[in-house]
Amino acid sequence: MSLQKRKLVLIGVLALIVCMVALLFTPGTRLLKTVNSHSYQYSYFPWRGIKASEVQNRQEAVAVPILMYHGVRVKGELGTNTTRENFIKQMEMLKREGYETISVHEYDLFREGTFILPPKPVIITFDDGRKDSYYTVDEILRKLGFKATIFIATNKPNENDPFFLSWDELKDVQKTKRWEIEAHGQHSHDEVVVDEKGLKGRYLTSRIFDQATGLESVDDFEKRVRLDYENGIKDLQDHLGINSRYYAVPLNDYGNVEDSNYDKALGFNKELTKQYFRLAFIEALDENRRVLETFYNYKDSDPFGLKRLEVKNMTDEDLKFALNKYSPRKPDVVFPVVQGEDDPSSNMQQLYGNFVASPTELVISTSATSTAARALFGDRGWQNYTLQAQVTRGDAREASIVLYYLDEDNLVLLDWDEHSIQLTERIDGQNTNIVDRTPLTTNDSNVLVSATIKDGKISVLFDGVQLVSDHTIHVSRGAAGFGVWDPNGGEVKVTSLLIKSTE
Amino acid sequence: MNLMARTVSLATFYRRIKVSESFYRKTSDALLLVVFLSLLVCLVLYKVVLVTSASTFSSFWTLYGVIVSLFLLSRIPYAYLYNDDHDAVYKDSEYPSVSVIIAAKNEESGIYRTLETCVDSNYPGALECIVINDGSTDGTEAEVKRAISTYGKKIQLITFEKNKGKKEAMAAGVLLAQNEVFVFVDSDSYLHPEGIRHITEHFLSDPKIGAVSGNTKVENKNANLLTRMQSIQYAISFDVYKACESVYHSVTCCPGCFSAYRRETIKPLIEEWKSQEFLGIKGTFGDDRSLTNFVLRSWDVVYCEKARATTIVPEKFRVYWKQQLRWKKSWIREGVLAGLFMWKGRHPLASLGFYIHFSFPFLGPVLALNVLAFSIKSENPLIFLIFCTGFMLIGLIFSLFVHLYRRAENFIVMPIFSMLFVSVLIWQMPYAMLTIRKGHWGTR
Repeated sequence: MSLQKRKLVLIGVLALIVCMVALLFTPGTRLLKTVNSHSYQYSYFPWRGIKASEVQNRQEAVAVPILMYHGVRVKGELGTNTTRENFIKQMEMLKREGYETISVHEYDLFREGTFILPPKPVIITFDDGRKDSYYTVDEILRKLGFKATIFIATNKPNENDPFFLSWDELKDVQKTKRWEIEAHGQHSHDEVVVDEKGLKGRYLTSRIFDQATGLESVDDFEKRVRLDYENGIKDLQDHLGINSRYYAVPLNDYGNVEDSNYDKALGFNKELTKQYFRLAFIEALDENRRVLETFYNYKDSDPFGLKRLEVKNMTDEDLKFALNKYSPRKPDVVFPVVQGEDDPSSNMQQLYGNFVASPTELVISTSATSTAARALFGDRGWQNYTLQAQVTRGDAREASIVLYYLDEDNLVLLDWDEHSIQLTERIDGQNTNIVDRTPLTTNDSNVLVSATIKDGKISVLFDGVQLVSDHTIHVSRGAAGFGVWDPNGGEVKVTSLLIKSTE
Repeated sequence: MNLMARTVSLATFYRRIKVSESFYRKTSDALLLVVFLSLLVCLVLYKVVLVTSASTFSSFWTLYGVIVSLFLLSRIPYAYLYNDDHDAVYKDSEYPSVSVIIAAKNEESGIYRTLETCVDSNYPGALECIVINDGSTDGTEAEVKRAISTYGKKIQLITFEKNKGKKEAMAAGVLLAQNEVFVFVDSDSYLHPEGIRHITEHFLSDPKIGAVSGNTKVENKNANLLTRMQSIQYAISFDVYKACESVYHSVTCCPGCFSAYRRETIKPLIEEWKSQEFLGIKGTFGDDRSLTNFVLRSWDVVYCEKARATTIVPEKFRVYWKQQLRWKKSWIREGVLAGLFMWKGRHPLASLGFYIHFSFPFLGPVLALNVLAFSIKSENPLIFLIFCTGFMLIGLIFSLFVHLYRRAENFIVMPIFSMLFVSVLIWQMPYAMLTIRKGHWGTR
């Protein structure tokens, strides 16, 4: 063939290719997306171990546990992530145990009284907006009929960081209708320079140090931080049309606040959170895979301090145990254990210090790292109950019974030492005495205490002496428990305990 | 394999209904052409979709991937437009005198036939063969003497008592030869009767041309899977890559198995070439590429598709591996040297093509590792799989092209070769770089 002819053929072929590519471009793009989102196949068989009878006859729940995840990974470094295998086990466990997922919005409606919770609700959340929060997860949610909430730090899609979902991908996420997309700030996770040595602090809680202009003024700091809240909301509005009202507090509590070079930063952030959002989420305490406090959220839980359990790579059994341990139940504790009844010590929550249970006594003692110890019964949703306990202070400096425990800042506490006793109520960290410190009438270190709380009124009988009767308290609910304090180490023993509901 | 089964079943089908061979060939060609065009569309579509949907176009590797794809895809139209420009009719008396130079070491099995095909060439001008026996320890010398007894003075023999290396042997041949054109032939290559005539016609048609690469294909192509793969590798490297380079008269390697040089091109270079050093040692392999490099500085170098020859290729993987390693070393060495002058006095596309092509063996493994790392990091094995598919698609398109346009056989084993390449051969490069100062003689 001559060169001339070949040139013509070539032009023809090129034209053909251009036409075909133009024609197939849209279906091709769609195919690539489909391939991307279906590269993690998963299927679930509901008949694997679930009994219909177990699901029936359940009452509306009063609190919602919230789970928090980051990435779900097939392999690679774990850190705060979950293996996909384990995630599947966890989700199947939830399904098997009869849990139903609700959205954060539905929880918000429940707080307002316009949404009835299913018998076993749960909220599943993912922080940051990573690709491995979606591609490895969505298939599982779809097959199990679950939904989830994802909190986006919007500078990631803005900067096209390939580790995170892009705005286009987030539009696909939105289209599934399984995912609720909410705010997580914009630059909220960034590190900033805070002094001339180049030390780093967190974007939201530190004033930036600039070599030329020195430390950022408080005004500039407040402007910048406020803008991060506004921009995070605006990005979601602009790209996805989402009016976000819920906020996963970045780095769980605005980062390591000890790193902050401005002591009013935390308060300022909390103020902004209240200003811009309806609900905000932080992390429940845990330590070495042990969950230390409840991650169930009630109708009247602090809307800006909603607790989430960071699941990480817990086994499904550990997760089930934690869900059961903190699940709301009626006040009902008997010790020593009556044959055939549940052992209450298995549900005891050890906040700090040591706790040991034997068949005849419960021992709460200080530890090497803690001069105080506190252990709790109940789920922090208890309201009307009576407590009767035989307590031995022994040589310990101070023994205590906590009657309503919401958190360290909201509680009702009865504590006594060798000589005196007092009853205190702590609201948002402020102590007020219900009964001022009074001398004890007994020298016996073994005392019988009985307390009753009914409809917001408290009565306490200490070693046969009426300490207080029908006194109004302001903390609305909480768990019951025991504590000890002694700088030199000491222990408190509980030899009998009876807690009953008075509903 | 599906495709092969289909072609085979078509063949039996046509045989049964007694359709002529040519009709069968036309039908299968039409079928393959459709497959070729569809694959081409698929590849371009795949690239366009990938590039437009990639969120990280800013990354160097995505950009490099796109450049490489553009380069590779552009090879097809170039190879298609390549013209073998020596079609004028010349008088017999115009043809220059030719010296064929053959360096041989332990080649008793093939050397007689090699000489036979050279001397029996259908060439109108004067022709002599110079064999340099580089210290052979087998019956090579006896075989050459047998040929001399048949063909007489047309064959001359130089014997080295001790092995001195192929480069020394070739240089000795060049120093002895006095004809106008020197043709290098490997001792295990066999020329087509018209080969020398076609290759010298280039010197007649264009005075700027200093060297011409012949078109060498595989003699033992159906011996086993390895030689089948090499036959398609040869077809692509000659009929795609060399043809492309030839469009701008910038062929970077005239292979030792069959190529031709002008006397006035090569005589002034030979001493410098012989004593050339790289990183402080004398290069003892890749002599052909280095010679071409010397010529390319001041002359045009082209590829002659019509000048055909065949050569024996390794049948054992171990031997093939060593040969590829040597080629890669000479590629690095000569690529660096050529890189120093390829940017000037040439068509810009020729220079650009050279540098992109030269970057392959260096950046190729890094790109592959990068994709693999990204695939692991994002926990999506599909990413690496897609990368490999793209790689195999390009290989298949090239092999289909040489099959349809140049009648190359064995295109069906190309995917296997691609897999071999991406999984094994590509990793020779780092090793070759580390051991570049070690050298050995020979082609096998």
